[in-house]
Amino acid sequence: MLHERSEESLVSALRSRDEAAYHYAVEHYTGIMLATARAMLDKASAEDVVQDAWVSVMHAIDGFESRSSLKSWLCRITANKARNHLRKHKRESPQDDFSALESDLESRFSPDGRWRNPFHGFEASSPVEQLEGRILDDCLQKHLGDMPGDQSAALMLTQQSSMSKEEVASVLSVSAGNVRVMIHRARQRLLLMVERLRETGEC
Amino acid sequence: MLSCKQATSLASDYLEDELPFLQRLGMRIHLARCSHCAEFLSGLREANELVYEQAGAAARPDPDFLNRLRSSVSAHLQKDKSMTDPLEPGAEASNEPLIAGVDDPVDERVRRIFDDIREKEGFVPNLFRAYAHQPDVLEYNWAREKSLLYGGILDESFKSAIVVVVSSDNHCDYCVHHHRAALLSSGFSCAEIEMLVSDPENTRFSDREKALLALARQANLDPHRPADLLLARVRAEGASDAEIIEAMSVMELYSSWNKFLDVMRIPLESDVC
Repeated sequence: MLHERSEESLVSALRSRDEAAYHYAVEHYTGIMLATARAMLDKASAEDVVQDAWVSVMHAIDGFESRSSLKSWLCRITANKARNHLRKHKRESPQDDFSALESDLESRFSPDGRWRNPFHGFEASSPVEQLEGRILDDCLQKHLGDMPGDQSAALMLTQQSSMSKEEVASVLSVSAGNVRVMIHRARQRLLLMVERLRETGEC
Repeated sequence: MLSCKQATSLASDYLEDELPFLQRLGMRIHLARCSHCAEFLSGLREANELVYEQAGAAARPDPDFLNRLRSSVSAHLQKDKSMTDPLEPGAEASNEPLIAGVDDPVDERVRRIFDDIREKEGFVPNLFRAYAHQPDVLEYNWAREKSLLYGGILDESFKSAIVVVVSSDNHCDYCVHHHRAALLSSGFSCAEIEMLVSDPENTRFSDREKALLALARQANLDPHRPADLLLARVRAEGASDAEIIEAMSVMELYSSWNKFLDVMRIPLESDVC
């Protein structure tokens, strides 16, 4: 049975065009590929990109060298396709800003590095309980969508999968240090979002 | 001693236990004394949990989508397989051409066409030497090549790129070889040509050309798959109807030649090899 197969035997079955192996792989890896694409694209486009990625996989599997894991190779193909899709639809904003803090947060410190306008926690109950679920969800969607694609992809991939920072870095073709910054920046944005939503009720 | 701003900058790595020992210690000391930063950290942790759920949902494919993927994968495999099925018993694998080409035509019309071919291509490819057994067929096949590849409105190299991609999808070495050579002589590197087949979106062609190539490629590989999205992309990139027809015709001409060449086992010209 195909339930617990080693990556090596899976790859060689994929190379020999074994249909059951492809079905297994589709079942097994589509989730993480979808999460990769979804971090940059709407649902329908993400699905198109993933479908397209599987076609490329069939063409390219012979050239897959097991230098990276199958999972990160699949995600890299997906991320490249998603980026191309974004480029085509002219939505990608260049991200070469690798400072550690979001500018909204940066301005809340005085020059000596002390809080000027400190962050006031979420008190006892968690934000999830305080805010109506749907409003929060919509707002979260919006903010994830507004982030530079790579930033939300870095966050989603680290959160969702057991991928190491190094693997995520290879998927997104950046350095592991950059992945750390992207994740930290993405979390700050969400934190600021929740804060604003709670204080003003506006997303 | 860490400042609040430094502590805030390190917060994410601290959450994930990725700080070196001394920085980690510095963070602990700072957090014990600074309630603002401690609150920031717990806020960050909570924000994180929000994403956890969101990422989980994004990674759960709809069952419909999975089904669609499975059948698309199966359809592609089926197509590949029909090309690599073992020979029927009794059939012999051979490299000998089924019919030798015409070397020295006696027919006046064939001579004239050969001269025309020589003028454009520098020599008469074996494909046309095979067609020459039937002058009418030779005439219209050459007319198609001449008008499509040497005339038309699309860039010549781009049309060779379509030929390389379509013919390599169809495993026709003859056409791949000829048009690789054409691309090489117009300044493409081997790596670029490889990229053309494995990842055409990352090549030097324009967005409009990449869109046309994607359309032609799918049309060859999977003619029954709806092409509406690809066509919409081609139009969004500003391709004209004439350009679409021309690109599709290059695909159509070569996908038929691919079959003819392979079945007839037409060899590459020795002076080309």
